[in-house]
Amino acid sequence: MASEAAGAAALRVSSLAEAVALRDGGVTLELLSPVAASDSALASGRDIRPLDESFEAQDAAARRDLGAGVYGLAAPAGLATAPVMTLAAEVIAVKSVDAGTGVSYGYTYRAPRTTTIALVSIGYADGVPRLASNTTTATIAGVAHPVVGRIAMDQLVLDIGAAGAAPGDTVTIFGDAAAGAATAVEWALRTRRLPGNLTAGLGRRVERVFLRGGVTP
Amino acid sequence: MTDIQPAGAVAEIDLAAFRRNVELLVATAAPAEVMLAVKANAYGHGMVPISRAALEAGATALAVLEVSAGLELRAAGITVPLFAWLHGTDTDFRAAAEANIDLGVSALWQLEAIAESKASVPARVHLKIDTGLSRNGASAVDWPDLVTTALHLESQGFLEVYGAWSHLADASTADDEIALVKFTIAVEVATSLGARFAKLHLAASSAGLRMPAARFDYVRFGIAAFGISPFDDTDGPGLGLEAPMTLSAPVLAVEALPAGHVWLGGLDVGLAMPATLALVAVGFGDGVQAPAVDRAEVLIAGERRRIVALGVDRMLVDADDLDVTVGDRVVVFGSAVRGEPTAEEWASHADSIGDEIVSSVAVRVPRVYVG
Repeated sequence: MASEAAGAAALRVSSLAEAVALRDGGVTLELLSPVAASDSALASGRDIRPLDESFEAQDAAARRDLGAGVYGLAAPAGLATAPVMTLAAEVIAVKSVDAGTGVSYGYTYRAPRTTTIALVSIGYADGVPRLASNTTTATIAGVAHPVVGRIAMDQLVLDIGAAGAAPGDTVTIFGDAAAGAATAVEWALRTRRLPGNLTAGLGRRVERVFLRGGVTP
Repeated sequence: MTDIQPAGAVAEIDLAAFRRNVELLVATAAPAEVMLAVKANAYGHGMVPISRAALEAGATALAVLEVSAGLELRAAGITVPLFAWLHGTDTDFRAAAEANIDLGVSALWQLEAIAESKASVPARVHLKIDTGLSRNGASAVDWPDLVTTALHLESQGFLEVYGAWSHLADASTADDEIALVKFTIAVEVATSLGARFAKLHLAASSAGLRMPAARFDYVRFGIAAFGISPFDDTDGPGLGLEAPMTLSAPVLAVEALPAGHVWLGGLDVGLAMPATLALVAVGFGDGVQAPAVDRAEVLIAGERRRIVALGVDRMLVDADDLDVTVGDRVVVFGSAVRGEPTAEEWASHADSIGDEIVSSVAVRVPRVYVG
């Protein structure tokens, strides 16, 4: 819907199911979709353009596509685009630990001094790569804190030092550098994947909230 | 393989293999009971079908992570004890109590929120002590206050103090033994303060298999039930476990290409020499782990072959000298019994653990159940 409003001419999707959902949801743009032979009637009935699997057709479609650039995850033809997604989670526990205390599975991090750690309710099953353990930062109230210890299936830990935090505080995992956050591009680089892979990998537990004019509708 | 629609990737879940795993774990844990962990949509396998299969195989309770997941299981007609322990400030404790979902409690604010939830029945709580993982759980300093506050709220009818529990860090055997001592002391402290716990639980897959003293009343087996070893020194088959999930996708095209550039949905792939490549309908959008791709193999036409490139919806696989045709299914990972690459192999290639490989299979990939 937002693409249509912003002047896009066509949308390319991953599967016919997605194209059908868009058409049935009222999108009137040209839709390009892979179409299995058995489903061609479903496609033609909805004016969905089949995209065949030959390398030539893939090539042509990819060259026409803006790809990750529209999501602010790449710079198509050198054009800087703004990040669209901010990934956030909630602080669910805060505790002080003594110097030497091991944190999370395998104790890959030990507190170098008496410090405060914050437990955050997001983990690798939500799409935060486990490879980011001990290599990235997340921000609370605009201040960056290191992600320490192994990222778990549904939780990660920040060493927040002397900064205060309380359960319910918002943690920005990645977002807009202009707001002081680490970016998805940085997280992707540190976790050996494309930025679009990082955002496409977010799990079912992660609620998508769409902002209009900067506010939640 | 069953007859499945060929359009895209499918995760086939062999419930018979899963039940055999659970039966083995139930026998290992006895006389402790098994509370099977079905967090993260049952590690990507599908929470409701996996929960039913676990109960058929002898598990007697389910660990769901969050209240909302517990409510989904109750709506699906599951009546066994359910345990939820990861709570946000917006967790619906009233709905939990009224649906008989047991609550893991780590902090005073959670006890207060439970008391203020105005549930029509007392919530059943399991108090958590931090024995060294440094995540949830009250520290030893805060533990007496958590226990006495819980007992006070119990006397006022807001809740029932039912269990005590913790979570091991699996850093080393010595560390886990220290954690076991800390747990035992915390239980003694709570008992001296007047608590009478009906259930104690500490072990997950790792200690459940190798640390009998940590089994107590429940072992919270998770990853082992999905055929994946919690240990570095052996894999799932080495523990007598089978992987129930097979991720596969059809071949969409096979082409002999000259040296040069090929496009894959926006990826520019350089071929140093002429090659025959198979285009396969699975990509990182389905949860295939990019960091593994330089080293991982897939099973195509009966052979293990390398991945040449990974895109969002497609991968290119080396198909030189292979008898492969459009529609053939390629196995990304599956069962060692069939010679397929396993999630554990993918994990070692991705510098990860099998838990991340299976739980990252995307929502859009249909789960098909057999067995």
